[in-house]
Amino acid sequence: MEPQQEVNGRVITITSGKGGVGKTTTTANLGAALAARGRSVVLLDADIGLRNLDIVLGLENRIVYDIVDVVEGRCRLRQAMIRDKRLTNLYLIPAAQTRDKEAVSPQQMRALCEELRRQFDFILIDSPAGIEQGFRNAIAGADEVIVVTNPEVSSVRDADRIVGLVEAAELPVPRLIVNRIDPELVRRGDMMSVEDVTEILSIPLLGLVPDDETIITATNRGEPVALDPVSRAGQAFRNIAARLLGEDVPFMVLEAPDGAWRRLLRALGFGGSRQGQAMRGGGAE
Amino acid sequence: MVERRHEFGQLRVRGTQDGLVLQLPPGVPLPALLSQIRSSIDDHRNFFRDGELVIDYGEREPNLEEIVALQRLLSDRGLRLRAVTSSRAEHQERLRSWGFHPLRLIEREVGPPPVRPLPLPSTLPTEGEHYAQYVRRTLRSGMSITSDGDLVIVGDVNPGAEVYAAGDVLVWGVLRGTVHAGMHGNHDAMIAALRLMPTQLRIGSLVARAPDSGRALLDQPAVARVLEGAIVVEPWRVDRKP
Repeated sequence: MEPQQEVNGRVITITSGKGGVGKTTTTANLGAALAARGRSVVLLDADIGLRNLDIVLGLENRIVYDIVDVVEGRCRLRQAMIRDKRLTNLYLIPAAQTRDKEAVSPQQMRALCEELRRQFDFILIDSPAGIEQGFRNAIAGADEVIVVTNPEVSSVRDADRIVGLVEAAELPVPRLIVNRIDPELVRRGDMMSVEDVTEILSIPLLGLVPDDETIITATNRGEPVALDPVSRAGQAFRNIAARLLGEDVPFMVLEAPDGAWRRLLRALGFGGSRQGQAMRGGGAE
Repeated sequence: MVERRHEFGQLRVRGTQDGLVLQLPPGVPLPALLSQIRSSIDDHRNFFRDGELVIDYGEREPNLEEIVALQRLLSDRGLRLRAVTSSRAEHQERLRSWGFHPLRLIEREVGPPPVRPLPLPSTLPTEGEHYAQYVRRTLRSGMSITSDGDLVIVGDVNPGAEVYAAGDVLVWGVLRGTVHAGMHGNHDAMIAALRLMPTQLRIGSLVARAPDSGRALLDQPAVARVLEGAIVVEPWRVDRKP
């Protein structure tokens, strides 16, 4: 175990309200992308009882101790940290599969985050879905919150609820990742556009991730796409990681090319929400 | 029998042959009323030991929603609503049609209602002026605001958020959620917003839902009010008085 000098890491919780929008995939890929940039990263799976992050990273078979063992004092923190098989500066603290959300308290989460903050540059917490105790635990020790949503009405509704709860918890305004954007559907008007989403949520945009089949195959193999140089989604996660490091990276252009007809409609004011977006100044696009 | 009598702020409770009678003051909006009753009961458990109450509407207009809310409040505290009564014959008739059996009270207390001094602002509103609750934030999904008077919201009302006011609701932003103006039955109340694309609008006892297209009702500042028994949405006209 290498001696590590004390750092003051950032605790970032990735949450969404609704399940299945890509929290775990986002956590794994941002962790991999940040680690690939040379930062020390620990991923904390706060979805106790529904453990997933280990699978996405392909580390399931290495689990001995988990987060509940740590807070209940059955092992030392170091013993519960699983080192990634590809990146030497990426670690995972898995959730317990046989317990539930009440096994950990917000105070314990805060203490754990304080401990990890001294050892890592980034502590990424994968929040469970929902707005109950599990979510409250996940944000208890956070400095920043990232809200993941899909361009889809019910997921945006839940994200909005989460943004309100994060504000009520007196954390800084969360940043937004819109995941699973299908450019073709957006072009046809069959999917909410990013502007539609940001107009409702009105929080800063951190990244756009295209719907990409490489995600599914990579996830099943336990290989984060962020390490795949040709994957579009992988590039999107690398961009987001760069933005977390303070770099000014332009947003990916995900919309399929505009037809002349559509441009005309928009010019005539039938295109919807462009104006509101421009007034909000919602990003570096 | 020793008569029990108690005053809790504007609330009066009397012991009569019919048991404990809770007299509702006229003009006090439901949320205030509920909180008064709640604290009265909680602070005077012993006084309400009978476990049964009669609600007397007196001159106050009976309202089914109100009664249901009161019933729920009482049952939450282990009390039973025995009857609902009123001093007006036509109101008693209405109560009977709702399935509540008004009692003829044996003794009726008359006299001025207790006066509670209100803190007076430095300038009193004249006719046509109101004091409104001012909310400067966006109401997100799951948030709810209730006002006993008018309500001004500077920010958006997002889908999944709920706003209730006894008077008008003015949204200086996009209204996408549900708003109930004139919640105690005031059909003169109005709802105005910079952009009106609500899930549902309610004024008094009327309900209007958005067309299923999901588009803005009007692409400009708009006002909803009751005209001839229906909620009507019109563009906000700067050359016309509200």
